[in-house]
Amino acid sequence: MKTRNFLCILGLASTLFAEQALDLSALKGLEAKAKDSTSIDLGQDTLKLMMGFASDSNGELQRLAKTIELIQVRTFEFEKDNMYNMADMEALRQKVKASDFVPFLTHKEKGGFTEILMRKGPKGLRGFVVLTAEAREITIINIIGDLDLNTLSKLGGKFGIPDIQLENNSKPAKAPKAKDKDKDQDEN
Amino acid sequence: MIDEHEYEARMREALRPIEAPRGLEDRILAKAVARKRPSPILQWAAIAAALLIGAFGLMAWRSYQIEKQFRLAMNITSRKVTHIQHKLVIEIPLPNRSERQNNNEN
Repeated sequence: MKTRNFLCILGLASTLFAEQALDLSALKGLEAKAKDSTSIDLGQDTLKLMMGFASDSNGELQRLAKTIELIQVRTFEFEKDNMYNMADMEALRQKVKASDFVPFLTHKEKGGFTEILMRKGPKGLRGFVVLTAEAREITIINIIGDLDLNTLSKLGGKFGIPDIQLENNSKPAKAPKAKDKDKDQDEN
Repeated sequence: MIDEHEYEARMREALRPIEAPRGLEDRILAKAVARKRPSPILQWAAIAAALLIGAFGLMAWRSYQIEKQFRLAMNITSRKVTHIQHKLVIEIPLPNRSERQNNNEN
């Protein structure tokens, strides 16, 4: 009985993890084709271990890691164009869009796309996904945690994160940027 | 004063092989072994300390690897977001002043 309960809990936990993590099995084998690739998978347990030994003296790294439940990063750089199957990336994009993500930024270009999606949770944002497909480069970033736009903006300038100003809506970030530049030109 | 012959005789006498007393070798070896072997408590304590230090070292090393990956993940994310920002700002064709004035007049 105890064993059955344990297996049920284990199954539930793995299902919850599987729901949060993106299924990137379609990208298997790309490492061999890529000139340069990065694969990072960090879950809550590994991040907790890091928090105990982190070399960050002021504790900012620990505070940031505390808010994050899962990090998935895949980057592939190729020597030539079209060395990966764009259909796989499109399928992944559609799959993510169909789940509980809110599109934040969508940009299509010749031979590629850029997509930023926010994951909604009961308390607010629960993370984001960045998908970019270019002729010679693919990037997939999936960060899940109690991150809101305010926290993200506070991270600017730390741990190599740029100091970006995000507005608290789901419109693409390019709109306010364009207006700002427009205003600058007017002033000149 | 001793002569050469006597000197040699004394030397020969002094250097002649002497049979060791029976059981001396065993007694020496037994004493040496007894001195080398620490108490069982100390032995277990040493094993436990070695295991603890090993486990701590392993965890610290693993943590360092995770921290490196975490920082790299944050770095990639930041670079990508900055790249997207720059790309989108450059790709949006902004009308110049004269074009906008014409539009306003119309």
